[in-house]
Amino acid sequence: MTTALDLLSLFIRDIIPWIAAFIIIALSLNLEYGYLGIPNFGKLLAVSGGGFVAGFLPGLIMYYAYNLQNLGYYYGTKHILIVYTINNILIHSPLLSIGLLFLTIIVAMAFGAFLGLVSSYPALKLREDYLGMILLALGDVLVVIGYNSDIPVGGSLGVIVPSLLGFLNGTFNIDVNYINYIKDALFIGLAVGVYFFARRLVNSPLGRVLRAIRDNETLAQTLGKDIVIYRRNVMMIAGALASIGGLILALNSESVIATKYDRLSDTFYPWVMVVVGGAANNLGTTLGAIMFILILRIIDLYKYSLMPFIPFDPVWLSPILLSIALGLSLFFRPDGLIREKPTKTLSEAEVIRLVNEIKNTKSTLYALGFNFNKIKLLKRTKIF
Amino acid sequence: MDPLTAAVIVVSGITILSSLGLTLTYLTTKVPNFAHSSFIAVGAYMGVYAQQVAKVNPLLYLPYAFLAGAAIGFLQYKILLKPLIDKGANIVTLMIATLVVTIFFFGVINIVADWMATTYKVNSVLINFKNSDFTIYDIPISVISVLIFVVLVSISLYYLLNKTKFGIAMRAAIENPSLASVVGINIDRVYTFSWILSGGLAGIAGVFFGFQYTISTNSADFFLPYVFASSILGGLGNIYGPIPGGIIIGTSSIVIPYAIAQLGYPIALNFALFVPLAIMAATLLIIPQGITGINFRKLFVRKLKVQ
Repeated sequence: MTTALDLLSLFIRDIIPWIAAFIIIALSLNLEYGYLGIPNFGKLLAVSGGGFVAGFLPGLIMYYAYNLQNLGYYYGTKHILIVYTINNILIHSPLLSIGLLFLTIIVAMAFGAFLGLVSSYPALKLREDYLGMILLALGDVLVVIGYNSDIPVGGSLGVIVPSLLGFLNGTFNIDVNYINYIKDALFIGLAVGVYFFARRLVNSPLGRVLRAIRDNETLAQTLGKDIVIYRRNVMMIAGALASIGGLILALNSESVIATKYDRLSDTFYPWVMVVVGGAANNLGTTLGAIMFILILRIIDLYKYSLMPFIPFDPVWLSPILLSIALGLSLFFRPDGLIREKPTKTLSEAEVIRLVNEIKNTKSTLYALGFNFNKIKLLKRTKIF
Repeated sequence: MDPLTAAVIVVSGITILSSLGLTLTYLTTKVPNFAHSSFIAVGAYMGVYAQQVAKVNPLLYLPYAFLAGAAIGFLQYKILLKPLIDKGANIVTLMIATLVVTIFFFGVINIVADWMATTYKVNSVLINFKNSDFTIYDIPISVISVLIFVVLVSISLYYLLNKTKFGIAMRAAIENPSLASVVGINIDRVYTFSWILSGGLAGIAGVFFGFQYTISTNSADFFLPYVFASSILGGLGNIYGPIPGGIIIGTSSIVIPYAIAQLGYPIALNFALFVPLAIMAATLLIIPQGITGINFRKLFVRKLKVQ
């Protein structure tokens, strides 16, 4: 008998991969938009890139490594049989499975970085408005290729991703339920890793350079910072991270179809998460991602109890709610739920000591003709 | 009539009508409107309602499509963009604000489609208007009406901008908003008008959209790159830019995949999206100001001097 607790645990297990994936995608967007000010309206490109790598790489490697060509063409009617054969090989070879998993993650990140490099090319040359338009158009490229051609992910039929954690059941006799927990733990691990990586990145000197470039390009250039290189590198990093998000979505459902990746859910929703949660604040962005996936999923969960009262599928209420939240946030909390913290290059105690020292020597400084308006200005710019 | 020619004319017409609105709103509010695909989708669903529920020709619902698009454009400007502009929002914030409308209408259009399907028991997705397309002297009515609309809109736009007092005020407001407001032009009225016109034209384009493509709740999304490409190719700084831009984008996005398919690669027909994308990228690299931004007289004069 299913109790409320069982339902809750099912719900949590259902949303964890989504939360992990969207935290990663939103953090990568936050890196680009929040910290560097690049309006990347083409997140879909890197996300679908990661998903597609998960869709074709492990399967095709096994297909050619084990000479499964005699079973038939990889995509198409024989696909299920081929993946079934691959899974049977994989459940008896833990090392191969783990190796494939890591290879997939690394290749997905490399491909994401490449896509970031591609999208950084217009980002170096164009103003925000033109950039937004071309990145938005560029975002659809992989999905169009994926839907219309067999080669990466099987066209309109999609592909099945070989079960890379199946060996836990086949070799170590772990219960299937626990495998799902292990899978979730892996996704959470990836999300936490990305979170701490992003935090480390933005609190390092590099992060301060990024904010300096965002706030004043010319000033950063006069200080000898090459904005072209910084923009390119950050877009590559963000692309690599976003492709992990796409990869998680693919590994979670163990299938990839090009239409699963679309502009609304992979570009616009991360934007909502970043803007509502708080741009240039990793904690806020993470909170935004968790909140929005919760809203989306809770509406999904209760849609059958709402069905009798309204003449349409209640899931369509969620985009409306999300857009209203985004609109309200733009008007009443443009900085997001959690604001960007001021940058402190010295420790806070040191700053307070210096301010007090200046106050104590105020009269001396007056005598020397010191301009206090300048200090007020500095205070206003949050350096103090 | 040759179906290829018909497709070229209809797609060029849709592109011109929708990118005229995009350029107009870009000129006034300086924001690329990502919600333009929502205007098209709303117009398209007006057509779907006409064909599936009201059982009349979708072309008869063109006025309703215009009104619906215009209402959305008006509301988007008045409720969302105007207050944000007054608050001094930067361009990226305004771009995010247009996402609000896009996401909102994604929900609304799906709800409308579901409502049509459950209340009237009709198909409301994967619809096209090919059955409503009758021919007059072997020319499909969709081609005739697209041609009429494009010519009508172009001429009346020219007349409006050059011969009427409001149009001259509009050009002044586009050229230099602060100077125009100093001489007593109501900038807000000009901007509101441009958003209404933009939404209305996109709504009309949405009805024609169904004569060429299959309408689904998200099918206008794929058309957005066409609109951007046409506006950028024509030049976002010039109101007449979409006319050459739309003709080039519409023609090449039909003819180039068709030509490649004739060479023995029929799969090329599915990759038509890459044509506007490539044109957009090439335009931004070679002539970022667009076709109408090129100073032809200067080019010509320089050549004469060389001779």
